[in-house]
Amino acid sequence: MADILIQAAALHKSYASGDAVVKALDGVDLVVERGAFVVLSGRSGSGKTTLLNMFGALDRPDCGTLTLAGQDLLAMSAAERARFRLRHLGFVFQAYNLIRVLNARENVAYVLQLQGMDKKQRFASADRWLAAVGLAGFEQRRPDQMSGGQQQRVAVARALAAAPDLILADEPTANLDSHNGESLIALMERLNREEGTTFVIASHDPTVIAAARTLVTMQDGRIEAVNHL
Amino acid sequence: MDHLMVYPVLGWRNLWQHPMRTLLTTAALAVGIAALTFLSAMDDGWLQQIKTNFALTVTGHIQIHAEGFEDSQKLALNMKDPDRIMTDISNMAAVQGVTRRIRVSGLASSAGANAGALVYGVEPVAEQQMSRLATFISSGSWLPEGDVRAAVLGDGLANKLNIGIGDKLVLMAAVPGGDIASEVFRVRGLVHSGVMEVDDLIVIVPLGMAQKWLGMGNAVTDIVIRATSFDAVTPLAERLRERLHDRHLEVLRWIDIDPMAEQWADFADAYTWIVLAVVIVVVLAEVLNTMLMSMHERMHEFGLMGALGVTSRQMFAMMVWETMLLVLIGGAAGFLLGGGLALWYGEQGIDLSRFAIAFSFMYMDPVIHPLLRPESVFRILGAALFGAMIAGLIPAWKASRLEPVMALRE
Repeated sequence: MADILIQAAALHKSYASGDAVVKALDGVDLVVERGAFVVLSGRSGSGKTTLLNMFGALDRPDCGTLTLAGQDLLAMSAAERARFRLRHLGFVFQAYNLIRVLNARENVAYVLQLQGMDKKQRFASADRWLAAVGLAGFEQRRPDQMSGGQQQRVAVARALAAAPDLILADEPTANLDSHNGESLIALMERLNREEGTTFVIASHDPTVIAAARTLVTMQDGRIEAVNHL
Repeated sequence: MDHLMVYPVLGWRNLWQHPMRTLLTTAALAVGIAALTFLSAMDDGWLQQIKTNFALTVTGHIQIHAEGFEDSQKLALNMKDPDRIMTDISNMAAVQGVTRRIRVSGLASSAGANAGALVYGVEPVAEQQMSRLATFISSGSWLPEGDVRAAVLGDGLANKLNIGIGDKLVLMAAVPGGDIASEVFRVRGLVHSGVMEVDDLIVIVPLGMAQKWLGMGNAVTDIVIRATSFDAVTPLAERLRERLHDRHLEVLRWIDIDPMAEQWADFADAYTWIVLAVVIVVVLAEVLNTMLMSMHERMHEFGLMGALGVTSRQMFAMMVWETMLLVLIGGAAGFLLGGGLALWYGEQGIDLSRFAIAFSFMYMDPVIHPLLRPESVFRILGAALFGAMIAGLIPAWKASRLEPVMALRE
């Protein structure tokens, strides 16, 4: 039997936009297995980011059920969700992923520090992961001393260093040129393959979609199709 | 513990993301705290002068009288056996010196003029250890030993009477029985203290001659005590009251004798608190403004940190740290500047001779020496930190309440 990481059922989420009510999620059911490489695709406003935020324990649905790594995310308090994110989740956002006053090593080590790892260990781990994403020698650079692609790689290294169950990436290539975008996705694929880390990526970038092993197509807050490629 | 160090580090680095803003804020804080430190030191300096001058010019730290004398000033209310009291108290802890006096209001006359006078009969040698009167001699000399008719008077009073060194002076006063008695003295010295009450009013004569003139035998009106320090005065007065409680005597501290001195002390204290309150408000506004700007600029970063697993409490701690560091930098710079100025001027003195006449009413010297007292410094820094804490709590609370998903949209 497959090892299920995410189980979402009948997720609904609505936002007020002026006088209108926008249905961001309209009855979403989805199961994601451990080790999957899932891409959520669809046009802007289709509900990709909202669903990603639900999986990331950053947002709560109006109704429905959602379990991740066997835990009911909707039963958790804000502090419990923060702790859950720290232990189980990694994030790569579209841009401005890093804490600007910390260098690459410190950014990667930051989550490990929050987890309570001692300085020597966390810096060694950070350097290892920076090397794994091709950034050996960039440890001392601050975000404003790196390109967008390099910053995204640091974000991936940070997400992986914490040994999460799941890495969530929201339009990770949106601010990168095609070369850097392809390189980042190749890195994610490799890490998924080699480390077995589960990725759920929201994107409408064809390069990312082409890399998907599970492609979830969304429209108007609903899942149109789930294709295992 | 190691993981807690991330907040001061982040706070420190965040401050220097906008060096100009941080420098301007800390400079404003530093100038405010420097000004407050210096003003407070000025305040403490002149208050110390007032206390010292008031207590040591004439009054002494503590006086013992027959009950009711201070209010009535009647010679009939005197102490018939001062030697016994002196013996009882001279060995008490915190007593540096004791002397006896007769104090009486009377009329001073020269060949051509009369003026009201406050006459002190003093022990010429012991008095020099008690008050500063002997140090204020501006011409002539202090009461010479063995010269029973010697008199030293304020130079203002001498001018009124149009007399000088060697001239004859007649003093007239009511004796304990109510009759009027007069005695002739010879002017041996003039004093100039800068205090108008002394210079325009006082006549000092030997105690023995005063007792004889006023028919008081061995009796005196005042036993004057000098304590080892101002801090020792109140406890010593308490102990004296306990020891002398059954002898119908009054034990008065220098501030009991002249409430004005106490009012000056209270006024200075109130003034310091008002200035402190203003500083707290200024610090609060300054820090609040800077920290709110900083918070609004970093909304996305707060969202990111929230997504990474930073809790509300940790977010709150980070902002508080940042605020505290900002204030500590400004506070330290301000304290060093203000404290340095206070120490330097404490040595050099600030010459305000232009206002000497006004100052003399308040027992102040025309040269003020600021005094840096640890309790005042702690009060200022405490107030600044308190203000900063209050100001820092608002942005810290707002940052801790941010929903990561909302903040990430910024």
